[in-house]
Amino acid sequence: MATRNRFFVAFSAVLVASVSFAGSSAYAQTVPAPVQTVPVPVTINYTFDIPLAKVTPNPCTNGFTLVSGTAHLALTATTSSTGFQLAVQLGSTGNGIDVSPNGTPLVLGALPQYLYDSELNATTTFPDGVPEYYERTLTANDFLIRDSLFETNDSYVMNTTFRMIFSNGLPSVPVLESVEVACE
Amino acid sequence: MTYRNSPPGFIAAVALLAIVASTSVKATESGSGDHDDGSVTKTTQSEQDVVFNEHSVCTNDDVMGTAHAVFTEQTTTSGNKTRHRTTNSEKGKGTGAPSTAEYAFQDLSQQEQVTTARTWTDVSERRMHLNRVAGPYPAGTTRKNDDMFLHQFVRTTMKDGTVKSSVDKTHVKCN
Repeated sequence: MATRNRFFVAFSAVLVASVSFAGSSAYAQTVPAPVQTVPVPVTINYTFDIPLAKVTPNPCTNGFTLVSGTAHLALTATTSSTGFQLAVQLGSTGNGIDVSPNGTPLVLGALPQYLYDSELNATTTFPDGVPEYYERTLTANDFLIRDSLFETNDSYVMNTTFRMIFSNGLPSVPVLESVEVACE
Repeated sequence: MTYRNSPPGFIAAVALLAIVASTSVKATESGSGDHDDGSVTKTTQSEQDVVFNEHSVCTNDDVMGTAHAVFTEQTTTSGNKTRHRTTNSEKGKGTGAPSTAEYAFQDLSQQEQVTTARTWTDVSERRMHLNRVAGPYPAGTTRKNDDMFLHQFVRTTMKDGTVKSSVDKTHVKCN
């Protein structure tokens, strides 16, 4: 039976934003032509790197794991004549080691470290244009498996949920909302 | 990597694997519930037993089995915002051929979106792990790369407060 635990953890993030304009060009014309008002697509990229360092119960062994990793969130906001689109890419990678409840690495009885990595995508389209408010969650579904060729029967799933808020299309720093683990 | 298109209009509740047949379909819908704060909530839930057949590109097994899926969708309108929550829970097991290896999976995923927009479309990727729990390792595989991961792209469309979910496509990866 799976055991699920929820933790709220602190986070920090690094934000990098860049702006690119697609297809912006101008031509000198001698004959006035009808003015076409087709909006030029505007794309803004944001990236957030959110480190994760958390002692979680190991749902398979009743021990504890110090999970250390990084979630990389890449957001792309595009405004065009067809509306507003938000694309989110979540990459998650890290490892886990056997520790005591207070996070001290085990000296005796520690098995090879856990490894995990995953990547997910989500795209939301708003045909009526930039919404005044948009909020969403995105969950990384990671599978922690020991770096061992021998069966250890203690692999488990870790779901890490992030919450993102966009005000008039502008993102705030994503919040690491919860980490849930379950033995398989 | 294998891509597989799902049938059009396929409900997300049962779409987690390539479905060959289904039994015991049960869908419930609660009426609109008015709350003291003026919000209105609508909840639907569908529950289904499904038979699946999926090819593992990791071990070349054809995995056949059964699964039980429960999909809950809740929409709450309050003021000028609409909150849309989904919960997908499923559990299943199967057997690989020709290896006779056993596969098992268990998944619980949730998602929430809140917006002032009345019309929007979201395509979100969902990752499920099919654990190869027992059986001989095929040549070239070890315990670290004999499982397979099903990636599903779930499309949710909200139009003037009415929501509809379906699965666009599914593909399989080894990790």
